Amino acid sequence: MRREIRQIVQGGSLTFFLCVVLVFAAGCVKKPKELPGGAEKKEGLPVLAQNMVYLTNRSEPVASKNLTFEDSPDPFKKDKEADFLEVKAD
Amino acid sequence: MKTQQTKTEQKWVRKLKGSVLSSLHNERGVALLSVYIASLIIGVVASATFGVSFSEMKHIEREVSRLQGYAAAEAGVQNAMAQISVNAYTGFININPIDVSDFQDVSGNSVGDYSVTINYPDEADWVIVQATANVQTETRSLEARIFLESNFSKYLVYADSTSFASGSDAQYGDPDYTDAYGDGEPDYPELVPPNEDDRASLYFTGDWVLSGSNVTLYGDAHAEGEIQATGSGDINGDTYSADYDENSSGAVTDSGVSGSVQVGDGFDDDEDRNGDFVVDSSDYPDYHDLTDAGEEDSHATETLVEIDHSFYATNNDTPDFVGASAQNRFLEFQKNGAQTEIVEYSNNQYSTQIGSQTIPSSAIVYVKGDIYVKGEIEGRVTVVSSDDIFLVDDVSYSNGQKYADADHSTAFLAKDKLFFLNNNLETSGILYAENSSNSSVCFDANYNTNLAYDPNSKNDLHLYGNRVINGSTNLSLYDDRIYGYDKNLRYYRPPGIPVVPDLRIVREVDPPAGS
Repeated sequence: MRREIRQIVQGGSLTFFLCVVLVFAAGCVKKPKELPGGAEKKEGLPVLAQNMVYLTNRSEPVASKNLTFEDSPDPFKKDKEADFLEVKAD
Repeated sequence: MKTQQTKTEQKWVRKLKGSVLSSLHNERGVALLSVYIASLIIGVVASATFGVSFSEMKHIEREVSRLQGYAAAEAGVQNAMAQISVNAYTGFININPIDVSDFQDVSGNSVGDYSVTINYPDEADWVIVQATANVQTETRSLEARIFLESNFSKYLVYADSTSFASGSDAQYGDPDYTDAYGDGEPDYPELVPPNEDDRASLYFTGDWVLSGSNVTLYGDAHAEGEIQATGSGDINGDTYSADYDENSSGAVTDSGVSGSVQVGDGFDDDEDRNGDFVVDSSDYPDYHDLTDAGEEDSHATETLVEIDHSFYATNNDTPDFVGASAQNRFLEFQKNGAQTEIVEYSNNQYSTQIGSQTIPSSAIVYVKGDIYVKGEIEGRVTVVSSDDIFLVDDVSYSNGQKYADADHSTAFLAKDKLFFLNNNLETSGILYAENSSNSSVCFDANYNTNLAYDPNSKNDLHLYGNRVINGSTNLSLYDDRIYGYDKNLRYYRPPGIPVVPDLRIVREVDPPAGS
């Protein structure tokens, strides 16, 4: 009886050892870190967003009113504004 | 002797039998065998599991690489959009290729690389971007199509004014007599095509007032205020007014249009707004809302993209016209091969030639001062003045062509006002007056070719193009006015017209060969 118990213990040990080796081998397989997509990222940023440049509106529209006019006074122009009775329809 | 041998054999047989029988009876060795068999089974199962797991790992790694490749290609499209947007407000599209050899994630880890090619066919209204990314052994390629829209070329009239008046007999757009069936009758009931993108369109940031009689529009009208007919008119198309309103049940309480004006495009494409299962006049067919978002059947409000005068000065193809001080320039455009030759005269009588120069086929003419113009344009030419532009006589494309195409388009952009001098005038292209002096009218017909005040001698005005008006006009001084629409200007804009890029289509395509 003692002999059978010793054999069972030996066999079980061998099985356990094999399992440990297999688990260790499986653990050595390189696992993917994270899936891209970003929805689950804590920072709320897409994983690959660093180099992405998002379209933005022009922050400062070039204001034409900043331009300076160097045009000389134009007497003709004064005439143009003189007639306040002019038609204003297209 | 024989008996002795037989006894010995019998003894061995008995011993052997006893041993086997004893083993069978006491089951010695079965446990070890069972453990070995169980171990073998477990080992096989574990090996199979390991194999499946390994295979799935490989698949997942590949899938991750593919996803990263897609994301990297998307980043390439975004990068191209950003590159295009930088100068889009000037109308110039930067088509330089993009090459990112080390594309990194947010943690700074190298992911792969991507490259982008940008095509701008015919310098028209579409830009085609192809972004190809390499991640590990995976290569993915995306094609994006970016639509370039400009409200400088989109609308027959874009008027920024609290109230824009249209005088008697003004005609906006041209009737469309398409007869595809060949039955001798026009196909379109109100002579406008069913697709609104093919129609002329007006946009007013305030009210549009049909102050005269017999004002006619072949197309759609947009007003951020109301469309009022103090005179009379026909709108052969749809109206979009911000004053339009409905009650909670969908019944129209304010059409946004008032007065004696007929509205309708003649097509049965309208909805049953009040829910009575009949589309009739109570549903106000062809009347729509103008909203910020443009949801449902409404249209969205639009803001004009400002032009950048300093850009034109910097990219000027005629440096002779920009001196230290402003100067009037009297110019006539002539065809010279595939380009335009500008002949300069000494004064508005165009009698003494003082110089000439041939400009590139796609050119910006920037003048510091006033410009007086007439003649024929060859190529794509944008004429910009730091002050006023005077239309002395007809301006068309070469050989009398009226409408733009891939090789012909033009724009006249005045910092202040546009003057219509000749008593009979035909002009093609985009006309823009920024009205920097804040004059009461910025499209002015009060003066003749001798620059004399002569408002009552105007006869016929026929425009083939679009107008952007910052204020009002007095072009009703012309007895007959046809403001024709040139939809080709939406596609073949002259250089320097501000555009807004809009990403419309993204699809995966085969990577280019060798990538």
